[in-house]
Amino acid sequence: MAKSMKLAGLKSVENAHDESVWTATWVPATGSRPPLLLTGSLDETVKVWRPDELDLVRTNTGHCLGVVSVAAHPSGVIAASAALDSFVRVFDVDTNATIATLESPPSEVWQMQFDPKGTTLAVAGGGSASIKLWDTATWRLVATLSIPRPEGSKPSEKSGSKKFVLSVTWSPDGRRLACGSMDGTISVFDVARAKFLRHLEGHYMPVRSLVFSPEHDSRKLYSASDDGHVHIHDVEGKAIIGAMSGHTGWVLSVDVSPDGEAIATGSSDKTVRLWDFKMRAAIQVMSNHTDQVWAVAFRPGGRGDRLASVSDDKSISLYHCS
Amino acid sequence: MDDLSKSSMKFFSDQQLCFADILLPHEVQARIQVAVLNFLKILSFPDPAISDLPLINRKSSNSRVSEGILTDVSWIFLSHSFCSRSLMKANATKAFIRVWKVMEMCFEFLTQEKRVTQRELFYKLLCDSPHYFSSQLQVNRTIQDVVALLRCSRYSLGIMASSKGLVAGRILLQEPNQEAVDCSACGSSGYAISGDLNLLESLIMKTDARYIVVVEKHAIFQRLAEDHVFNQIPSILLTAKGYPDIATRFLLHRMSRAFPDLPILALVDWNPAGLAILSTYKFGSIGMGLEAYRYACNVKWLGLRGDDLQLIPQQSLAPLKPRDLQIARSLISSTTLQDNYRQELAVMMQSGQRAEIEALYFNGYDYLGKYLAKKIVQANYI
Repeated sequence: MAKSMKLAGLKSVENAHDESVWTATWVPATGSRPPLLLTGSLDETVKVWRPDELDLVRTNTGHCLGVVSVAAHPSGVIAASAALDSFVRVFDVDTNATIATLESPPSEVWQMQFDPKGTTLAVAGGGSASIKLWDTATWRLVATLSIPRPEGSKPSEKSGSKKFVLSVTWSPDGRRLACGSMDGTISVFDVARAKFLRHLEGHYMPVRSLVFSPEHDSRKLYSASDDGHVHIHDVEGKAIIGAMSGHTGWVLSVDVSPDGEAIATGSSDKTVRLWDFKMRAAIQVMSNHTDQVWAVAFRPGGRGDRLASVSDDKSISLYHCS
Repeated sequence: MDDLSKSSMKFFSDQQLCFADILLPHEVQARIQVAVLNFLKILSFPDPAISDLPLINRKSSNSRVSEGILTDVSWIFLSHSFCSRSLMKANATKAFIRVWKVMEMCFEFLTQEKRVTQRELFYKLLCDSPHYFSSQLQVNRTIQDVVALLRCSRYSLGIMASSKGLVAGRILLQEPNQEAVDCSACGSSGYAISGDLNLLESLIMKTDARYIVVVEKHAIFQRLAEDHVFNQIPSILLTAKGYPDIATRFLLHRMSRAFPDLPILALVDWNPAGLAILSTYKFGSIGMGLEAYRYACNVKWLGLRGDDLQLIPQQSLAPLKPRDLQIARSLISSTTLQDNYRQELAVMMQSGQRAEIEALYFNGYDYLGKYLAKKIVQANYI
């Protein structure tokens, strides 16, 4: 029987930010520097941390209103941060030089992710009920993938707002994009043909976080919802493969370890849970946060031996996985 | 007779010179188009082949020294030996493709009449062709490959040098249609030397200084500028914060042409790296040998030198690191190094020690200015 993963708390930083920390992502290592952790907060700053001691490397300011999402380019050289003021700032991680500023209409910028090759940045489009795709070489908007309006509704009907897009994720081969909406539906798009493929049903409350399992031609998508469950979908079929329950609050974030063996979730019930996919059950619960856990992130590369979590309690925690 | 034949060799050494032209955008685009057409022509022959890219060899084996006959300035230049980049070599295929990718990007920029820095080019290539480019160093090397292939200067390709150097002191610099900037009133940060060589070319310079002092380190430059040392001895201070970039060397060269009576004196650390920096200002470099030869200047070594070591305490001497020894070895093997520099280098290596200019502060914070003044007045430079 394969040994299952275990988390052990490694380091915590209290008051990492002045306000709730809403988002976190790992920046891959470059030739000259190991991976770093980026966090974004309601206090309008993005902070860069070096593991394992979680030394603060830099504080980036300049956003107006809280930072809702941070994303790192696969090369580790560039990263992007997005704020509630609907500006996306693209910057050089090591020097903090601004490379580009992407503007969008209000409330149309939410979660973001670079595609696995680093040629496109996908931004969940919030009220526009679409995903916006920006080309990373020219920083121009190259495509908008819209969620089709439900049949029978007129353009003037406000039903579009139910499709408010909160979360977005790329498949590991870069061919599929999935986004989660406030009404619980997940929409799947074919990127090359810029075509909507299908809805994945199952949740009835906002889907705030999505992640594909990491094998290259993966069809398995994990979704985290305010209904307290994590669903596992097959994006090419329509069926739900499974569900994992156990959180007593909204599931705000889900991430999968680079070897695909374990899934971690953060929730408004203040816990971080580690799940075993085969057993469909939580094998560990970490309760060191004192408020909602907004984001969890496995360090990329190798076996994924580090997990970071950030919370409304302004702290960041780093765990060792074995 | 030996001397005569030697000088006749010097006289004709220019024929071996291989250089990069400074061209207009449409001329560079024409060269890129010719490169593409040649490649396609050979590919579409009845007996098709993928041609190699012939690049001027940027190694010391292809470097030569030109010694001035009527002037004291000698410089390093590259000659006509080629190396080639081939798609056929298994581990060099990506390097081959990188050259074409950079040419493609440069062609686009030239059409759009944009100028970019090497860093900006890196971001674009990283996102456009992530499979081929993964570090800034690769991009820089590939740019030099394109310079060696097309034989045009990096600036002509549309790539701007970044602004690294600073000037302070008794000089007035005026960009066309702008107000003159008095560099003695710029504070300790000085006037930033732009990376745009066209702009530097068009600067109008006026000075009443008697010396130009080139400083290796930014901290020393700041100290000297703050203490207004350039008013005590009428001088111009210049720094590139380390190894000099093309823009700083370009400006220094312009100054030396415009004000030929001003001796150029270098203040560097007493270690092989300091001497290497001095040599780069003085002779140019092999890495950018197709262009750098134009900007060689007659720079003299003011300090720190071997006989200054008595002015600093024993404990401020540090052991030489392996990297220092590497640099020293490559300096010794270069043919440009004059005898008195070789002697200094030999003392450095024998003692196995190095010292930084900051060690002079042991004698007081204003000692640096006094040291500089004394050495200049005594004409104690080699």
